[in-house]
Amino acid sequence: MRLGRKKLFAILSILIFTTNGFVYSESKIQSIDKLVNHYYEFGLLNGCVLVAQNNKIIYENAFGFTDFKRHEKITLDHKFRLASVSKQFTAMAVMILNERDSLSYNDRIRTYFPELPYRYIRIRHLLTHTSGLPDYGALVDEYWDIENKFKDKRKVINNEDVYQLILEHNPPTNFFPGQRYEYCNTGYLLLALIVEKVTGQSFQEFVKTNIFDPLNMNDSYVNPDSGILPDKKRAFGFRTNDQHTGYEPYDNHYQNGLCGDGGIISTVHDLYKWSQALDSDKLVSQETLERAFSAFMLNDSSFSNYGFGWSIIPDDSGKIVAHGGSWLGYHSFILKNFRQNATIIQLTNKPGINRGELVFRISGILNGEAIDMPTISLADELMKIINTVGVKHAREKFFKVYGAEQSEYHINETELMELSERLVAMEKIPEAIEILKLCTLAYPNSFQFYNGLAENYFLIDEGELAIECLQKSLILNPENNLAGEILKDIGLEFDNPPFRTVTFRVIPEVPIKRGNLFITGNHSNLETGIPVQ
Amino acid sequence: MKLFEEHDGSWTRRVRLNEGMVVEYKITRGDWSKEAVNEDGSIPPNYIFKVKNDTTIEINVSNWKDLIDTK
Repeated sequence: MRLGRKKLFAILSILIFTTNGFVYSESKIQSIDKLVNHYYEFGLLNGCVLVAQNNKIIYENAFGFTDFKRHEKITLDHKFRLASVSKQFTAMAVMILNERDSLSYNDRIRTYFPELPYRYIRIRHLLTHTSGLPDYGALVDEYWDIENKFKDKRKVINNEDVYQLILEHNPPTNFFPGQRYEYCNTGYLLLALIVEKVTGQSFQEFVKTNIFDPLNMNDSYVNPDSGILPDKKRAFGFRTNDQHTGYEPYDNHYQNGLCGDGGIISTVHDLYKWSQALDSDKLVSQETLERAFSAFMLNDSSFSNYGFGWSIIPDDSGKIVAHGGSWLGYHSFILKNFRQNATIIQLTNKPGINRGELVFRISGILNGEAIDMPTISLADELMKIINTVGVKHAREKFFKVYGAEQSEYHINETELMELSERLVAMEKIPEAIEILKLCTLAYPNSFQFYNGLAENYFLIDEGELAIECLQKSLILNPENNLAGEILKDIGLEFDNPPFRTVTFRVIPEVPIKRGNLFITGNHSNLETGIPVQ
Repeated sequence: MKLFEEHDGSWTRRVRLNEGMVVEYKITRGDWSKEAVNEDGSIPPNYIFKVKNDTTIEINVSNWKDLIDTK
């Protein structure tokens, strides 16, 4: 009976495959190709995409150029900075050492850093971003003297330097360990240092000999402490310049010598090898990996959707784990869709794609879902038009897109505000004013565009227009102090619109015998004592 | 904002609001399960008005969400 069912299942599978399956998956691949090309044609994609299902690469392609000069085309063999996708490798190093009993997830970090004040933080808190440690970014930006270190030929900061800065300044934690999730690069940087302390090897060496070498990931490495990468097969980060007249490098940074939280350079093919290893026992047991791919229980027994170096995406169609990384020109992403037995990898060296947008859309295609096509940022397009043919044409474009029912563009309030700020930075004040005026039409209730307009009117000595805008801004949002501050900055007195006395009189048809009556409204003066919805 | 009961059975409160401000509000007996509703029990949209000068706004409430059946 049992055998019979198995046989029947086998026959069914063949039938599905021969009647439906082939055509079906073929059209999925076509959908993926169409989607990815859409991103490329919209100028959003510069890099590599790989999709694998059932241990077979079903789609791979490379788009765009290796650097800002745009001479050499990117191939599938080009290497990209993974940025935060590196965290899953750091977590793997820790899991390997845990399986060897060289350390335990429950170890307090003071076992390895006795000088640090953080008594209650354990390794598992670092792995799951629940330590409460503040991100090192603000600390190093404030205290790492780029100029001076440059004279010492030590412009680039390394992990040990960051550790010394933490020791020196002992930044307070944001919450008690395990209380909540807060993405924290410091934790992963400390994990790399712990790996070094436990093994006596450099983090670079440990990852090479214990992860990259066994998996034949021959095109992968951790960046050296110096941050210098003498690598000709690398895709260099770049971006569109502010004037939108060309491209500029976006690859160098004084933090390029750090690792643990980032720092790995790799290719889509190597990452596919990595993903396959995670479906096997090659590096650690499936039991160990199960924990990496599971939500983490916080102190109050609720769960945080981040395992060990992976985000856990609750999905109606089954489990998905994923992680993205953004650093300079690079946006990398890896996603494992377990139900579809699929891996999706995206490595890019020029900004354009919103975080995991593309890989999640591909995952949706594999799930058989209907997928939205990407849209172009209208703000970016307007900038391009202003810099090439002028603001008059930008205005026309704006109305054309704004009035259209369907469009290949998206209009975004924040992006438009940023556009106006970029124009001001380029000293294109009349253009910035024109854009902000359009924004007040598109977003009549948004006070921020009136504030922006006012600032620009002041810059061109149109004080009366500026004050008019500030008045409108204050009417839209009486609590917005910025309008008041702007006026204070330029030494003008300005009063809020005058107060009026309003009497509310509620007459219930049936007298209220017990309890009270309340008015709930949108003005702060109506807030005192209001019931909460 | 809590209202004060008057001798005639009406409830009032006086507030100061900026001229030009568009005020939207609703009336309840404490929470949204006891919201003032239309005579037929349907939920009304927000009351809305623009502050122009000193004024009194009168609102007649004919029904409450939690008392529709018992009225």
